[in-house]
Amino acid sequence: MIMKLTKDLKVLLLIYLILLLVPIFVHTDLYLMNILIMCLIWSVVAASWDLIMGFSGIFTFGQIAFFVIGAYSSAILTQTFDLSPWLGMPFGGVVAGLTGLLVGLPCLRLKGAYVALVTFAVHMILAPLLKSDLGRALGTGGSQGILTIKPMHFWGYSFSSMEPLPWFYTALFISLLCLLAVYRIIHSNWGLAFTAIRDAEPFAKSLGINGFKYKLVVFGITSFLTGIIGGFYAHYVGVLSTRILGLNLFLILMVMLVIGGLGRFPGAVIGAYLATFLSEWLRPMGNYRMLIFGGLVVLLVVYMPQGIAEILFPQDKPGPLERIRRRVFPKERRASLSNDS
Amino acid sequence: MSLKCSHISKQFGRLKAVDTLNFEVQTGEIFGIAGPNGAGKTTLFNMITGMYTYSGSIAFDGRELNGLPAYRICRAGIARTFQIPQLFASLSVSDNIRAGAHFGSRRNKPEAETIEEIIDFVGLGEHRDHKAAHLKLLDKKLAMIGAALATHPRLLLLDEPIAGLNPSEITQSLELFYRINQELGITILIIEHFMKVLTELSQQLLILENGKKVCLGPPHEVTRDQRVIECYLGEDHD
Repeated sequence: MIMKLTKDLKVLLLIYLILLLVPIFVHTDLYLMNILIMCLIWSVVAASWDLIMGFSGIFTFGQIAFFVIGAYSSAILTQTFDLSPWLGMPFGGVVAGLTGLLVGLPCLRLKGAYVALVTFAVHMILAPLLKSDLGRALGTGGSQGILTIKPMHFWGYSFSSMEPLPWFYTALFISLLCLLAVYRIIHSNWGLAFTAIRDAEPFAKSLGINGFKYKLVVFGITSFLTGIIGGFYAHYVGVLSTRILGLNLFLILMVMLVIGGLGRFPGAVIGAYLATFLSEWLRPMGNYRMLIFGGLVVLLVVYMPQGIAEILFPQDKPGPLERIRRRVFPKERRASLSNDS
Repeated sequence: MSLKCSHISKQFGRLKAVDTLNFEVQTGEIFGIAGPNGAGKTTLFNMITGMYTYSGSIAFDGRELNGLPAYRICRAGIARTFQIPQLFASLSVSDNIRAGAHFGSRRNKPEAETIEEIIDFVGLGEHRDHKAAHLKLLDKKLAMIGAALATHPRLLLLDEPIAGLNPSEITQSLELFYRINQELGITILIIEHFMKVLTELSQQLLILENGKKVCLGPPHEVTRDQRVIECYLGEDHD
Protein backbone atom coordinates (compact mmCIF):
# COMPACT_ATOMS: atom_id res chain seq x y z
CA MET A 1 0.00 0.00 0.00
CA ILE A 2 1.79 3.12 -1.21
CA MET A 3 0.70 6.41 0.30
CA LYS A 4 1.51 9.80 -1.08
CA LEU A 5 3.05 11.95 1.67
CA THR A 6 0.44 14.70 1.77
CA LYS A 7 0.37 17.50 4.34
CA ASP A 8 -2.27 15.78 6.47
CA LEU A 9 -0.28 12.53 6.53
CA LYS A 10 2.89 14.44 7.46
CA VAL A 11 1.06 16.07 10.39
CA LEU A 12 -0.29 12.70 11.53
CA LEU A 13 3.13 11.03 11.32
CA LEU A 14 4.74 13.95 13.15
CA ILE A 15 2.21 13.58 15.98
CA TYR A 16 3.00 9.87 16.23
CA LEU A 17 6.74 10.46 16.07
CA ILE A 18 6.45 12.84 19.02
CA LEU A 19 4.24 10.36 20.86
CA LEU A 20 6.77 7.63 20.24
CA LEU A 21 9.36 9.65 22.16
CA VAL A 22 7.16 11.17 24.89
CA PRO A 23 7.35 8.13 27.25
CA ILE A 24 11.12 8.57 27.51
CA PHE A 25 10.38 11.62 29.64
CA VAL A 26 7.11 10.72 31.38
CA HIS A 27 6.96 6.92 31.60
CA THR A 28 7.07 7.00 35.41
CA ASP A 29 4.02 9.27 35.61
CA LEU A 30 1.13 6.78 35.62
CA TYR A 31 -1.51 9.53 35.51
CA LEU A 32 -0.03 11.24 32.47
CA MET A 33 0.58 7.95 30.70
CA ASN A 34 -3.07 7.00 31.28
CA ILE A 35 -4.20 10.29 29.73
CA LEU A 36 -1.97 9.68 26.70
CA ILE A 37 -3.37 6.18 26.23
CA MET A 38 -6.92 7.55 26.44
CA CYS A 39 -5.93 10.20 23.86
CA LEU A 40 -4.84 7.42 21.50
CA ILE A 41 -8.14 5.59 22.03
CA TRP A 42 -10.37 8.64 21.56
CA SER A 43 -8.42 9.77 18.50
CA VAL A 44 -9.62 6.66 16.64
CA VAL A 45 -13.23 7.14 17.76
CA ALA A 46 -13.12 10.84 16.79
CA ALA A 47 -11.47 10.16 13.41
CA SER A 48 -14.02 7.42 12.61
CA TRP A 49 -16.87 9.69 13.61
CA ASP A 50 -15.36 12.42 11.45
CA LEU A 51 -15.13 10.04 8.49
CA ILE A 52 -18.87 9.36 8.57
CA MET A 53 -20.08 12.78 9.73
CA GLY A 54 -17.48 15.19 8.34
CA PHE A 55 -16.46 13.49 5.11
CA SER A 56 -19.65 11.64 4.26
CA GLY A 57 -22.17 14.13 5.65
CA ILE A 58 -24.16 11.48 7.53
CA PHE A 59 -25.18 12.96 10.88
CA THR A 60 -24.88 9.91 13.07
CA PHE A 61 -24.73 9.95 16.85
CA GLY A 62 -24.13 6.23 17.22
CA GLN A 63 -20.34 6.16 17.43
CA ILE A 64 -20.10 5.63 21.19
CA ALA A 65 -22.66 2.82 20.91
CA PHE A 66 -20.41 1.05 18.37
CA PHE A 67 -17.42 1.66 20.66
CA VAL A 68 -19.27 0.03 23.57
CA ILE A 69 -20.46 -2.87 21.40
CA GLY A 70 -16.85 -3.52 20.34
CA ALA A 71 -15.69 -3.32 23.95
CA TYR A 72 -18.35 -5.69 25.31
CA SER A 73 -17.96 -8.13 22.39
CA SER A 74 -14.21 -8.42 22.87
CA ALA A 75 -14.55 -8.78 26.64
CA ILE A 76 -17.29 -11.42 26.40
CA LEU A 77 -15.48 -13.43 23.72
CA THR A 78 -12.18 -13.52 25.59
CA GLN A 79 -13.91 -14.38 28.87
CA THR A 80 -16.29 -17.02 27.50
CA PHE A 81 -13.95 -18.83 25.13
CA ASP A 82 -10.71 -18.03 26.91
CA LEU A 83 -9.31 -16.45 23.76
CA SER A 84 -6.51 -13.95 23.40
CA PRO A 85 -7.47 -10.24 23.46
CA TRP A 86 -5.56 -9.98 20.17
CA LEU A 87 -8.42 -12.04 18.67
CA GLY A 88 -11.06 -10.32 20.79
CA MET A 89 -10.31 -6.86 19.42
CA PRO A 90 -10.90 -7.69 15.71
CA PHE A 91 -13.93 -9.73 16.78
CA GLY A 92 -15.25 -6.64 18.60
CA GLY A 93 -14.63 -4.69 15.42
CA VAL A 94 -16.56 -7.21 13.32
CA VAL A 95 -19.55 -7.24 15.72
CA ALA A 96 -19.57 -3.43 15.83
CA GLY A 97 -19.20 -3.30 12.03
CA LEU A 98 -22.13 -5.65 11.48
CA THR A 99 -24.21 -3.64 13.95
CA GLY A 100 -23.20 -0.51 12.04
CA LEU A 101 -24.47 -2.07 8.82
CA LEU A 102 -27.77 -2.99 10.51
CA VAL A 103 -28.18 0.54 11.88
CA GLY A 104 -27.12 2.00 8.55
CA LEU A 105 -29.80 0.18 6.56
CA PRO A 106 -32.82 2.11 7.90
CA CYS A 107 -30.74 5.30 7.95
CA LEU A 108 -30.27 5.11 4.18
CA ARG A 109 -33.92 6.00 3.76
CA LEU A 110 -33.50 9.05 5.98
CA LYS A 111 -31.66 12.34 5.81
CA GLY A 112 -30.09 14.89 8.16
CA ALA A 113 -31.67 15.20 11.57
CA TYR A 114 -33.64 11.96 11.17
CA VAL A 115 -30.41 9.94 10.87
CA ALA A 116 -29.18 11.70 14.01
CA LEU A 117 -32.41 10.74 15.82
CA VAL A 118 -32.27 7.07 14.79
CA THR A 119 -28.61 6.66 15.70
CA PHE A 120 -29.05 8.50 18.99
CA ALA A 121 -31.95 6.14 19.73
CA VAL A 122 -29.53 3.23 19.21
CA HIS A 123 -27.18 4.92 21.70
CA MET A 124 -30.03 5.34 24.19
CA ILE A 125 -31.41 1.80 23.98
CA LEU A 126 -27.99 0.16 24.30
CA ALA A 127 -27.67 0.74 28.07
CA PRO A 128 -31.06 -0.84 28.98
CA LEU A 129 -30.31 -3.68 26.54
CA LEU A 130 -26.95 -4.42 28.16
CA LYS A 131 -28.55 -4.33 31.61
CA SER A 132 -31.50 -6.53 30.60
CA ASP A 133 -31.90 -10.28 31.08
CA LEU A 134 -31.00 -10.75 27.44
CA GLY A 135 -27.77 -8.81 27.98
CA ARG A 136 -27.04 -10.80 31.13
CA ALA A 137 -27.56 -14.04 29.17
CA LEU A 138 -25.04 -12.83 26.59
CA GLY A 139 -22.50 -12.17 29.33
CA THR A 140 -22.73 -8.39 29.79
CA GLY A 141 -23.03 -8.74 33.55
CA GLY A 142 -26.28 -6.74 33.63
CA SER A 143 -26.25 -3.58 35.77
CA GLN A 144 -23.03 -4.62 37.43
CA GLY A 145 -21.16 -4.81 34.13
CA ILE A 146 -18.07 -6.93 33.48
CA LEU A 147 -15.63 -6.58 36.33
CA THR A 148 -12.72 -8.79 35.34
CA ILE A 149 -11.61 -8.47 31.77
CA LYS A 150 -8.50 -10.27 30.64
CA PRO A 151 -5.48 -8.00 30.31
CA MET A 152 -3.46 -8.17 27.14
CA HIS A 153 -0.32 -10.21 26.80
CA PHE A 154 2.47 -10.44 24.29
CA TRP A 155 4.78 -13.43 23.86
CA GLY A 156 3.96 -14.69 27.32
CA TYR A 157 4.33 -11.23 28.93
CA SER A 158 1.14 -10.12 30.63
CA PHE A 159 0.41 -6.38 30.63
CA SER A 160 -0.04 -4.83 34.08
CA SER A 161 -1.81 -1.65 35.11
CA MET A 162 1.32 -0.59 36.97
CA GLU A 163 3.42 -0.69 33.83
CA PRO A 164 1.93 1.69 31.30
CA LEU A 165 4.58 1.40 28.60
CA PRO A 166 3.36 -1.85 26.95
CA TRP A 167 -0.21 -0.51 26.98
CA PHE A 168 0.95 2.79 25.53
CA TYR A 169 2.90 1.31 22.65
CA THR A 170 0.13 -1.18 21.86
CA ALA A 171 -2.40 1.68 21.80
CA LEU A 172 0.01 3.69 19.65
CA PHE A 173 0.34 0.83 17.17
CA ILE A 174 -3.39 0.04 16.94
CA SER A 175 -4.46 3.68 16.73
CA LEU A 176 -1.85 4.42 14.06
CA LEU A 177 -3.09 1.48 12.00
CA CYS A 178 -6.71 2.63 12.35
CA LEU A 179 -5.86 6.25 11.51
CA LEU A 180 -3.79 5.24 8.49
CA ALA A 181 -6.81 3.22 7.35
CA VAL A 182 -8.99 6.34 7.76
CA TYR A 183 -6.43 8.42 5.86
CA ARG A 184 -6.19 5.84 3.08
CA ILE A 185 -9.99 5.70 2.74
CA ILE A 186 -10.29 9.50 2.60
CA HIS A 187 -7.78 9.64 -0.26
CA SER A 188 -9.18 6.64 -2.13
CA ASN A 189 -12.03 6.40 -4.61
CA TRP A 190 -14.26 5.44 -1.67
CA GLY A 191 -13.37 8.77 -0.06
CA LEU A 192 -14.17 10.50 -3.35
CA ALA A 193 -17.59 8.82 -3.39
CA PHE A 194 -18.27 9.76 0.26
CA THR A 195 -17.40 13.41 -0.35
CA ALA A 196 -19.32 13.50 -3.64
CA ILE A 197 -22.47 12.16 -1.96
CA ARG A 198 -22.05 14.71 0.85
CA ASP A 199 -21.57 17.67 -1.51
CA ALA A 200 -24.22 16.93 -4.17
CA GLU A 201 -26.01 13.59 -3.93
CA PRO A 202 -28.19 13.88 -7.09
CA PHE A 203 -25.13 14.85 -9.16
CA ALA A 204 -23.12 12.00 -7.61
CA LYS A 205 -25.84 9.52 -8.56
CA SER A 206 -26.04 10.94 -12.06
CA LEU A 207 -22.29 10.27 -12.41
CA GLY A 208 -22.70 6.60 -11.57
CA ILE A 209 -22.07 6.66 -7.82
CA ASN A 210 -24.18 4.10 -5.98
CA GLY A 211 -25.31 6.16 -2.99
CA PHE A 212 -26.84 3.19 -1.17
CA LYS A 213 -23.65 1.13 -1.36
CA TYR A 214 -21.24 3.84 -0.26
CA LYS A 215 -23.38 5.07 2.61
CA LEU A 216 -23.61 1.51 3.88
CA VAL A 217 -19.86 1.03 3.42
CA VAL A 218 -19.06 4.10 5.51
CA PHE A 219 -21.38 2.91 8.29
CA GLY A 220 -19.66 -0.50 8.27
CA ILE A 221 -16.06 0.80 8.15
CA THR A 222 -16.41 3.48 10.81
CA SER A 223 -18.21 1.20 13.24
CA PHE A 224 -15.63 -1.55 12.57
CA LEU A 225 -12.69 0.74 13.40
CA THR A 226 -14.50 2.12 16.44
CA GLY A 227 -15.27 -1.42 17.59
CA ILE A 228 -11.61 -2.48 17.36
CA ILE A 229 -10.44 0.37 19.57
CA GLY A 230 -13.42 -0.31 21.85
CA GLY A 231 -12.04 -3.82 22.28
CA PHE A 232 -8.65 -2.43 23.24
CA TYR A 233 -10.33 -0.06 25.73
CA ALA A 234 -12.09 -2.98 27.43
CA HIS A 235 -8.83 -4.87 28.00
CA TYR A 236 -6.96 -1.74 29.05
CA VAL A 237 -9.54 -0.54 31.59
CA GLY A 238 -10.36 -4.09 32.76
CA VAL A 239 -13.89 -3.13 33.80
CA LEU A 240 -16.93 -2.33 31.68
CA SER A 241 -20.27 -0.85 32.63
CA THR A 242 -22.99 1.11 30.92
CA ARG A 243 -21.79 4.32 32.59
CA ILE A 244 -19.69 4.97 29.51
CA LEU A 245 -22.92 5.50 27.58
CA GLY A 246 -23.67 8.59 29.67
CA LEU A 247 -23.81 12.00 28.11
CA ASN A 248 -20.44 13.18 29.48
CA LEU A 249 -18.35 11.16 27.05
CA PHE A 250 -20.78 11.96 24.26
CA LEU A 251 -20.26 15.68 24.84
CA ILE A 252 -16.48 15.38 25.14
CA LEU A 253 -16.31 13.46 21.85
CA MET A 254 -18.40 16.12 20.22
CA VAL A 255 -15.96 18.73 21.52
CA MET A 256 -13.13 16.70 19.96
CA LEU A 257 -14.79 16.94 16.56
CA VAL A 258 -15.65 20.61 16.92
CA ILE A 259 -12.13 21.52 18.10
CA GLY A 260 -10.59 19.47 15.31
CA GLY A 261 -12.94 20.63 12.58
CA LEU A 262 -15.43 18.46 10.72
CA GLY A 263 -14.11 16.80 7.58
CA ARG A 264 -10.57 18.11 8.13
CA PHE A 265 -8.39 15.05 8.79
CA PRO A 266 -6.33 14.84 11.02
CA GLY A 267 -8.17 17.67 12.78
CA ALA A 268 -10.32 15.23 14.77
CA VAL A 269 -7.15 13.49 16.01
CA ILE A 270 -5.72 16.77 17.27
CA GLY A 271 -9.14 17.60 18.70
CA ALA A 272 -9.10 14.30 20.61
CA TYR A 273 -5.79 15.20 22.28
CA LEU A 274 -6.81 18.74 23.15
CA ALA A 275 -10.25 17.76 24.46
CA THR A 276 -8.92 14.84 26.53
CA PHE A 277 -6.28 17.02 28.19
CA LEU A 278 -8.78 19.84 28.66
CA SER A 279 -11.23 17.41 30.24
CA GLU A 280 -8.58 16.25 32.74
CA TRP A 281 -7.49 19.81 33.44
CA LEU A 282 -11.08 20.82 34.19
CA ARG A 283 -11.80 17.72 36.31
CA PRO A 284 -11.41 19.61 39.65
CA MET A 285 -14.28 21.84 38.59
CA GLY A 286 -16.74 18.96 39.04
CA ASN A 287 -20.13 19.56 37.45
CA TYR A 288 -18.97 22.86 35.97
CA ARG A 289 -16.70 20.89 33.64
CA MET A 290 -19.60 19.86 31.39
CA LEU A 291 -20.97 23.39 31.55
CA ILE A 292 -17.66 24.69 30.23
CA PHE A 293 -17.55 21.99 27.56
CA GLY A 294 -21.08 22.85 26.43
CA GLY A 295 -20.18 26.53 26.23
CA LEU A 296 -17.03 25.66 24.32
CA VAL A 297 -19.04 23.77 21.69
CA VAL A 298 -21.28 26.80 21.16
CA LEU A 299 -18.36 29.23 20.94
CA LEU A 300 -16.37 27.05 18.57
CA VAL A 301 -19.31 26.38 16.26
CA VAL A 302 -20.06 30.10 16.03
CA TYR A 303 -16.54 31.55 15.81
CA MET A 304 -14.40 28.69 14.52
CA PRO A 305 -16.63 26.29 12.58
CA GLN A 306 -13.62 24.69 10.90
CA GLY A 307 -11.96 24.11 14.27
CA ILE A 308 -8.22 23.95 14.80
CA ALA A 309 -7.82 22.77 11.21
CA GLU A 310 -8.69 26.31 10.15
CA ILE A 311 -5.43 27.44 11.75
CA LEU A 312 -3.29 24.44 10.87
CA PHE A 313 -4.50 23.86 7.31
CA PRO A 314 -6.18 27.03 6.02
CA GLN A 315 -7.87 26.12 2.75
CA ASP A 316 -10.32 28.53 1.24
CA LYS A 317 -9.87 31.68 3.21
CA PRO A 318 -7.19 33.02 5.53
CA GLY A 319 -7.18 31.29 8.91
CA PRO A 320 -7.61 33.19 12.22
CA LEU A 321 -3.85 33.80 12.58
CA GLU A 322 -3.62 35.18 9.06
CA ARG A 323 -6.72 37.31 9.65
CA ILE A 324 -5.12 38.79 12.80
CA ARG A 325 -1.87 39.39 10.89
CA ARG A 326 -3.76 41.20 8.16
CA ARG A 327 -5.61 43.30 10.73
CA VAL A 328 -2.41 44.23 12.54
CA PHE A 329 -0.55 44.79 9.30
CA PRO A 330 -3.00 46.17 6.73
CA LYS A 331 -2.09 45.88 3.06
CA GLU A 332 -0.48 49.35 2.72
CA ARG A 333 1.57 48.87 5.86
CA ARG A 334 2.71 45.42 4.74
CA ALA A 335 3.72 46.87 1.38
CA SER A 336 5.69 49.72 3.01
CA LEU A 337 7.35 47.28 5.41
CA SER A 338 8.43 45.06 2.54
CA ASN A 339 9.70 48.12 0.62
CA ASP A 340 11.69 49.26 3.65
CA SER A 341 13.26 45.89 3.97
CA MET B 1 -33.11 5.13 -32.61
CA SER B 2 -31.40 6.29 -29.41
CA LEU B 3 -34.08 7.13 -26.85
CA LYS B 4 -37.73 6.12 -27.01
CA CYS B 5 -40.26 7.42 -24.49
CA SER B 6 -43.62 5.64 -24.68
CA HIS B 7 -46.68 6.77 -22.72
CA ILE B 8 -44.64 8.10 -19.83
CA SER B 9 -46.41 9.91 -17.00
CA LYS B 10 -45.42 11.33 -13.67
CA GLN B 11 -47.85 12.50 -11.04
CA PHE B 12 -47.16 14.46 -7.84
CA GLY B 13 -50.33 14.15 -5.75
CA ARG B 14 -53.04 15.56 -7.99
CA LEU B 15 -50.63 17.29 -10.34
CA LYS B 16 -49.74 15.48 -13.55
CA ALA B 17 -46.27 16.87 -14.19
CA VAL B 18 -45.76 14.70 -17.27
CA ASP B 19 -48.84 13.35 -18.98
CA THR B 20 -48.71 10.37 -21.38
CA LEU B 21 -45.76 11.64 -23.35
CA ASN B 22 -44.41 9.93 -26.47
CA PHE B 23 -41.32 10.87 -28.44
CA GLU B 24 -38.14 9.46 -29.94
CA VAL B 25 -34.65 10.89 -30.12
CA GLN B 26 -32.48 9.67 -32.98
CA THR B 27 -28.82 8.78 -32.52
CA GLY B 28 -26.49 11.70 -33.17
CA GLU B 29 -29.07 14.47 -33.17
CA ILE B 30 -29.53 17.49 -30.95
CA PHE B 31 -33.06 17.39 -29.60
CA GLY B 32 -34.45 20.56 -28.04
CA ILE B 33 -37.14 20.78 -25.38
CA ALA B 34 -38.91 24.02 -24.48
CA GLY B 35 -42.04 25.17 -22.76
CA PRO B 36 -43.27 27.55 -20.09
CA ASN B 37 -42.23 27.17 -16.47
CA GLY B 38 -43.88 24.15 -14.89
CA ALA B 39 -44.30 22.42 -18.24
CA GLY B 40 -42.55 19.28 -16.94
CA LYS B 41 -39.20 19.67 -18.73
CA THR B 42 -36.92 19.03 -15.76
CA THR B 43 -39.30 16.36 -14.45
CA LEU B 44 -38.84 14.61 -17.80
CA PHE B 45 -35.05 14.71 -17.34
CA ASN B 46 -35.42 13.35 -13.81
CA MET B 47 -37.51 10.49 -15.17
CA ILE B 48 -35.06 9.62 -17.94
CA THR B 49 -32.10 9.66 -15.53
CA GLY B 50 -33.81 7.53 -12.88
CA MET B 51 -34.22 10.27 -10.29
CA TYR B 52 -38.02 9.81 -10.32
CA THR B 53 -40.19 6.74 -10.63
CA TYR B 54 -42.84 6.91 -13.35
CA SER B 55 -45.31 4.93 -15.41
CA GLY B 56 -44.72 4.06 -19.04
CA SER B 57 -41.55 3.02 -20.80
CA ILE B 58 -38.26 4.71 -21.55
CA ALA B 59 -35.90 2.65 -23.69
CA PHE B 60 -32.33 3.61 -24.55
CA ASP B 61 -30.83 1.79 -27.52
CA GLY B 62 -33.43 -0.91 -27.00
CA ARG B 63 -32.78 -1.29 -23.26
CA GLU B 64 -35.64 -0.57 -20.86
CA LEU B 65 -34.65 2.02 -18.25
CA ASN B 66 -37.79 2.06 -16.10
CA GLY B 67 -36.90 0.75 -12.65
CA LEU B 68 -33.16 1.22 -13.00
CA PRO B 69 -31.49 3.38 -10.32
CA ALA B 70 -29.78 6.61 -11.42
CA TYR B 71 -26.23 5.25 -11.15
CA ARG B 72 -27.04 2.33 -13.44
CA ILE B 73 -28.66 4.60 -16.00
CA CYS B 74 -25.43 6.61 -16.05
CA ARG B 75 -23.45 3.43 -16.65
CA ALA B 76 -25.88 2.58 -19.45
CA GLY B 77 -24.60 5.68 -21.26
CA ILE B 78 -26.82 8.58 -20.19
CA ALA B 79 -25.30 11.58 -18.42
CA ARG B 80 -26.86 14.85 -17.42
CA THR B 81 -26.28 18.34 -16.09
CA PHE B 82 -28.53 20.30 -13.76
CA GLN B 83 -30.28 23.63 -14.14
CA ILE B 84 -28.67 25.00 -10.97
CA PRO B 85 -25.03 23.89 -11.22
CA GLN B 86 -24.40 20.93 -8.96
CA LEU B 87 -20.78 20.19 -8.29
CA PHE B 88 -18.75 18.63 -5.52
CA ALA B 89 -17.95 22.01 -4.05
CA SER B 90 -15.16 20.91 -1.73
CA LEU B 91 -13.30 19.05 -4.48
CA SER B 92 -11.09 20.37 -7.26
CA VAL B 93 -12.24 20.51 -10.88
CA SER B 94 -10.08 17.51 -11.74
CA ASP B 95 -11.54 15.49 -8.84
CA ASN B 96 -15.07 16.36 -10.00
CA ILE B 97 -14.18 14.98 -13.41
CA ARG B 98 -12.39 12.01 -11.83
CA ALA B 99 -15.65 11.08 -10.07
CA GLY B 100 -17.36 10.79 -13.45
CA ALA B 101 -14.45 8.92 -15.02
CA HIS B 102 -14.11 6.42 -12.17
CA PHE B 103 -17.71 5.67 -11.27
CA GLY B 104 -19.65 6.37 -14.44
CA SER B 105 -17.44 5.12 -17.22
CA ARG B 106 -17.30 1.49 -18.27
CA ARG B 107 -14.32 2.00 -20.55
CA ASN B 108 -10.95 0.67 -19.56
CA LYS B 109 -9.19 3.87 -20.51
CA PRO B 110 -6.80 5.18 -17.79
CA GLU B 111 -8.59 7.72 -15.59
CA ALA B 112 -5.74 10.26 -15.68
CA GLU B 113 -5.83 10.29 -19.48
CA THR B 114 -9.61 10.80 -19.54
CA ILE B 115 -9.38 13.62 -17.00
CA GLU B 116 -6.71 15.49 -18.97
CA GLU B 117 -8.61 15.06 -22.24
CA ILE B 118 -11.86 16.30 -20.75
CA ILE B 119 -10.24 19.28 -19.01
CA ASP B 120 -8.67 20.32 -22.32
CA PHE B 121 -11.91 19.67 -24.21
CA VAL B 122 -14.06 21.90 -22.00
CA GLY B 123 -11.28 24.47 -21.61
CA LEU B 124 -10.75 24.36 -17.85
CA GLY B 125 -6.98 23.85 -17.93
CA GLU B 126 -6.18 26.85 -15.74
CA HIS B 127 -8.79 25.81 -13.16
CA ARG B 128 -7.71 22.16 -12.95
CA ASP B 129 -6.72 22.36 -9.28
CA HIS B 130 -9.20 25.04 -8.21
CA LYS B 131 -12.00 24.11 -5.87
CA ALA B 132 -15.35 23.87 -7.63
CA ALA B 133 -16.92 26.17 -5.02
CA HIS B 134 -14.71 29.04 -6.17
CA LEU B 135 -15.47 28.87 -9.89
CA LYS B 136 -17.54 31.47 -11.70
CA LEU B 137 -20.88 30.40 -13.18
CA LEU B 138 -19.63 29.51 -16.68
CA ASP B 139 -16.75 27.46 -15.30
CA LYS B 140 -19.11 25.67 -12.93
CA LYS B 141 -21.29 24.73 -15.88
CA LEU B 142 -18.26 23.62 -17.88
CA ALA B 143 -16.97 21.53 -14.96
CA MET B 144 -20.40 19.91 -14.62
CA ILE B 145 -20.44 19.11 -18.35
CA GLY B 146 -16.84 17.83 -18.04
CA ALA B 147 -17.76 15.46 -15.23
CA ALA B 148 -20.75 14.22 -17.25
CA LEU B 149 -18.54 13.71 -20.34
CA ALA B 150 -16.03 11.75 -18.25
CA THR B 151 -18.65 9.02 -17.90
CA HIS B 152 -18.32 8.53 -21.69
CA PRO B 153 -22.05 8.96 -22.36
CA ARG B 154 -23.83 8.30 -25.63
CA LEU B 155 -26.67 10.61 -24.63
CA LEU B 156 -26.13 13.89 -22.78
CA LEU B 157 -29.01 15.75 -21.14
CA LEU B 158 -28.40 19.48 -20.68
CA ASP B 159 -30.86 21.30 -18.43
CA GLU B 160 -30.87 25.05 -19.26
CA PRO B 161 -27.10 25.07 -19.76
CA ILE B 162 -26.84 28.73 -20.79
CA ALA B 163 -29.15 30.26 -18.18
CA GLY B 164 -27.47 33.19 -16.45
CA LEU B 165 -24.60 33.50 -18.93
CA ASN B 166 -23.59 36.63 -20.83
CA PRO B 167 -23.64 36.71 -24.67
CA SER B 168 -19.96 35.81 -25.15
CA GLU B 169 -20.27 32.97 -22.64
CA ILE B 170 -23.38 31.75 -24.48
CA THR B 171 -21.44 31.70 -27.77
CA GLN B 172 -18.62 29.76 -26.10
CA SER B 173 -21.10 27.28 -24.63
CA LEU B 174 -22.92 26.73 -27.92
CA GLU B 175 -19.62 26.01 -29.66
CA LEU B 176 -18.90 23.43 -26.98
CA PHE B 177 -22.31 21.77 -27.47
CA TYR B 178 -21.67 21.52 -31.22
CA ARG B 179 -18.25 20.00 -30.59
CA ILE B 180 -19.70 17.49 -28.12
CA ASN B 181 -22.23 16.50 -30.74
CA GLN B 182 -19.97 16.56 -33.80
CA GLU B 183 -16.54 15.55 -32.51
CA LEU B 184 -17.58 13.13 -29.78
CA GLY B 185 -20.69 11.89 -31.58
CA ILE B 186 -22.86 12.29 -28.49
CA THR B 187 -26.62 12.68 -28.86
CA ILE B 188 -27.83 15.75 -26.96
CA LEU B 189 -31.16 16.44 -25.32
CA ILE B 190 -31.32 20.09 -24.31
CA ILE B 191 -33.84 22.11 -22.31
CA GLU B 192 -33.65 25.82 -22.98
CA HIS B 193 -35.82 28.92 -22.82
CA PHE B 194 -33.94 30.83 -25.53
CA MET B 195 -35.90 29.80 -28.63
CA LYS B 196 -33.36 31.38 -30.96
CA VAL B 197 -30.65 29.16 -29.53
CA LEU B 198 -32.82 26.06 -29.70
CA THR B 199 -33.89 26.66 -33.28
CA GLU B 200 -30.26 27.14 -34.33
CA LEU B 201 -28.95 24.21 -32.37
CA SER B 202 -31.48 21.42 -32.61
CA GLN B 203 -32.73 19.19 -35.38
CA GLN B 204 -35.94 18.32 -33.51
CA LEU B 205 -37.86 20.51 -31.10
CA LEU B 206 -40.43 19.38 -28.53
CA ILE B 207 -42.73 21.92 -26.89
CA LEU B 208 -44.36 20.95 -23.63
CA GLU B 209 -47.15 22.56 -21.66
CA ASN B 210 -48.62 21.22 -18.42
CA GLY B 211 -46.76 17.96 -18.97
CA LYS B 212 -48.28 17.39 -22.40
CA LYS B 213 -46.75 17.49 -25.85
CA VAL B 214 -47.89 20.58 -27.71
CA CYS B 215 -45.79 20.13 -30.80
CA LEU B 216 -42.84 18.09 -32.06
CA GLY B 217 -40.93 18.54 -35.26
CA PRO B 218 -38.15 20.49 -36.99
CA PRO B 219 -37.66 23.89 -35.29
CA HIS B 220 -38.77 26.00 -38.28
CA GLU B 221 -42.11 24.16 -38.30
CA VAL B 222 -42.59 24.19 -34.55
CA THR B 223 -42.00 27.93 -34.21
CA ARG B 224 -44.75 28.57 -36.78
CA ASP B 225 -47.25 26.28 -35.08
CA GLN B 226 -50.25 28.27 -33.85
CA ARG B 227 -50.58 26.25 -30.62
CA VAL B 228 -46.92 26.90 -29.76
CA ILE B 229 -47.33 30.62 -30.44
CA GLU B 230 -50.41 30.75 -28.23
CA CYS B 231 -49.09 28.78 -25.26
CA TYR B 232 -45.42 29.69 -25.25
CA LEU B 233 -43.97 32.12 -27.78
CA GLY B 234 -46.66 34.80 -27.98
CA GLU B 235 -47.66 36.74 -31.08
CA ASP B 236 -44.62 39.06 -30.98
CA HIS B 237 -41.95 36.42 -30.99
CA ASP B 238 -39.00 36.85 -33.28
